[in-house]
Amino acid sequence: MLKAKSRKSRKQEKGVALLISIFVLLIISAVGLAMVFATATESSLAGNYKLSTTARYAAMAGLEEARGRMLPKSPNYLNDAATPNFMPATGIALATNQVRYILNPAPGEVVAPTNLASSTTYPDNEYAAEYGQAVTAAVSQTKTSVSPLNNGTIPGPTYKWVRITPATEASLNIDVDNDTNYDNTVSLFYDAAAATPSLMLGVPAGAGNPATAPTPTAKPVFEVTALAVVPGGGEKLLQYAVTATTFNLNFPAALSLPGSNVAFNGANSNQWFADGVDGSGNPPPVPGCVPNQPTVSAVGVTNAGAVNNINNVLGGIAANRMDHYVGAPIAANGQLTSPSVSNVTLNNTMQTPAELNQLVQTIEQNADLVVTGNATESNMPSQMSVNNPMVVVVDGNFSMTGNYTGYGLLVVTGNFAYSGTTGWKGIVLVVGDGTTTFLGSGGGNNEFDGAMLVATIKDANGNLLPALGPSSFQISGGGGNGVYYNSCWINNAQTPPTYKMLSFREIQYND
Amino acid sequence: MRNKKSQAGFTLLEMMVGAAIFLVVSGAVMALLNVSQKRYKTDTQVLGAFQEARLAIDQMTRDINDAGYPPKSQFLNPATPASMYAQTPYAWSPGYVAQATCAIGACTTPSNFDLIVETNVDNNNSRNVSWVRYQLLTGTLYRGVVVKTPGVDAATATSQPGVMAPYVTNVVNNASAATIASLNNDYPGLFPGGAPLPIFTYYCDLPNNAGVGLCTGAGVNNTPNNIREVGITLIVRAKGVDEQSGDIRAVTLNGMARRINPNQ
Repeated sequence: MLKAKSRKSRKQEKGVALLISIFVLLIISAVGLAMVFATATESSLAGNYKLSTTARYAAMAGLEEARGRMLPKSPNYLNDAATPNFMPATGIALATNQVRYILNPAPGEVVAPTNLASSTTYPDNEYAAEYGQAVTAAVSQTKTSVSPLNNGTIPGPTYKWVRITPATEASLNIDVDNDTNYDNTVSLFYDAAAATPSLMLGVPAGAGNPATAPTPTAKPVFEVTALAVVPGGGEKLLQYAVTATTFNLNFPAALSLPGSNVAFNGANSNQWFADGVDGSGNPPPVPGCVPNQPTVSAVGVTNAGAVNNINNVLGGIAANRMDHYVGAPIAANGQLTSPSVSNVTLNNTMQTPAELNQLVQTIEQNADLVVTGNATESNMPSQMSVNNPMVVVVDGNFSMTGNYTGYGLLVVTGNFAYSGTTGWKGIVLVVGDGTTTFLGSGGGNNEFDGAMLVATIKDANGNLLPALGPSSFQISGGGGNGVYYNSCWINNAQTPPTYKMLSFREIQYND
Repeated sequence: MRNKKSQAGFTLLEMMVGAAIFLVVSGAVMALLNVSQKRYKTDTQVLGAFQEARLAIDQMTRDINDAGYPPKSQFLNPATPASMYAQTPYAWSPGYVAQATCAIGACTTPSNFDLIVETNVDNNNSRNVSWVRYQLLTGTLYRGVVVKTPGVDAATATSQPGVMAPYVTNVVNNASAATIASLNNDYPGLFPGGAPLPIFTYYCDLPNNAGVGLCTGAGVNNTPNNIREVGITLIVRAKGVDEQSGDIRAVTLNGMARRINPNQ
């Protein structure tokens, strides 16, 4: 009986245990939830901060990728067989209706900045704000990132696109010339060699054509803009203004012979000329560049000490070859001077032995090839071509024979000799010791297009001189191999060692 | 008979044991709940401090990244009004109007608790450069933005009424000695030597492109013009004290911001 009752009452208490369990569970869940809630708040706070920072660094990565790949010597140079005209040649601006994109889509994603109709493919609405017209109205070329997210085990930066455009007053929203007109059709340039380097407006060359350089050493300014969008909503739009740093070389003469005492012996050949007219002779064209700089002297000397170098040079020119040296100054009637041999002032990086020595070192640090010891054309890089000018330093004597033509910037720290149908397109700097000698023995019809300088900066023992020493320039034999001034090749020879960042800003982005 | 049997309840003993067990269990739960409530309250305050500090560090980093935009080299014409370009990435005091720089350490600003960034904060919409100032005054970090007026001292312009607004409260970088001692007790080594901890630490460009170094070091271009990086340390305390221990709770955030624009 007792047993039966006890069994029965236990049966009836079963529900109470459930109630108590539910109650206790409720309390514990409440506590648990509170804790979960607190933790969740913290993670989302940390998340927002992380997204913002991630997006900023991703956009910076995009800017840096573009800045690096704009360099012709980058292994991932933007110009290749598929896009040969992505970037203009060194020193040439992009026309203001041109726009370039580097795309970096995530796996399975489409990035189409020029598709303004779709809000999911990262449209570039910022372009319209800067250039006053929708990006669809511009001529665009695209390229993909070198580290696309969809192939590679290590994920690359998560920027979406980088845009490269010519900088204009309107796009930067900067009134460069303070005329209150925010010009949108003229590309900007930057002259690092100016007394006060600054942005400057290019010279307009008609609609659709890139503006040309306002000064010989001015280089075009590009605007590089990167958009990064991180999953979860972090978004950044950052912008650089960049310009190519070059060696800022320009020349007051086709052939510059600065120094204390110049021994000059001009060619007897009827084919040999020294011409100060920009683009004279038969140079290969530089894409996008028109030689339009003012005419310079055919031969330029400096007036060091009591020696009259002009007379030294004139004395070395055969009487019947005086008219082979044409150039500045131009008479009022437009007549060129011949013989054009004058005192000139060189760039302030080439006036003294110390400056020239510094310049040679700077070039050497940024050279594509440095040959130690004497060299011939066989030591020149095989990749060097009319479309791929290079910077080569020969730390010794250089001689070239046969049919060789070099392209780019050549520095020789000894003596220079050529024979046969040889020539160079670009800049030749012969900066040696003792009495630097330039010996030519021509034949055929090759040319030296660009500019040439022969100077002595060290004594025979290799000690730096206080002032430029004597030099010797001797041409014999027949044929051409003349020296023709060419501003396009002077620019093109100076492949930029780097693109320098002029300014940086973050753009408030509204898509 | 059957009805009576079903009405039979618990004995008194059973009830008392049951109630006692319930009390013990629910008491424990309540105690736990109380503790977690206190924790929650304190942690919410700590989180609030964290949130404010993070936002501030993010904003400071952005302002310092952008410092010196647009540089004067963007303008060709010397007649361009100075309100349109940043003469220097950071304004300073004294001597700003005369463009006579001061040495960092001797400047009123930039200093350990005061920094004025000169930049165009939204170039797409405004062509004028602004001064953005961060200043720590009695436990509150203030931020103020005012459009640059050439010929006016930046420190004076930003000190006008209504410019500076509270940005982060309860900043304890330069709290009283007692607060610092108390914080050092709970967070050993937070304030090295028990001295106030600078919010801003400046790193200047070294001569000849040799990188950056502490602005106070020897052989350093020790002027506001040359500040390249700014180390930021924000120590923010929670509003109340920890309800359980009565200690001050504080969070420390470190950041390093780099000025990207080139020297003027």
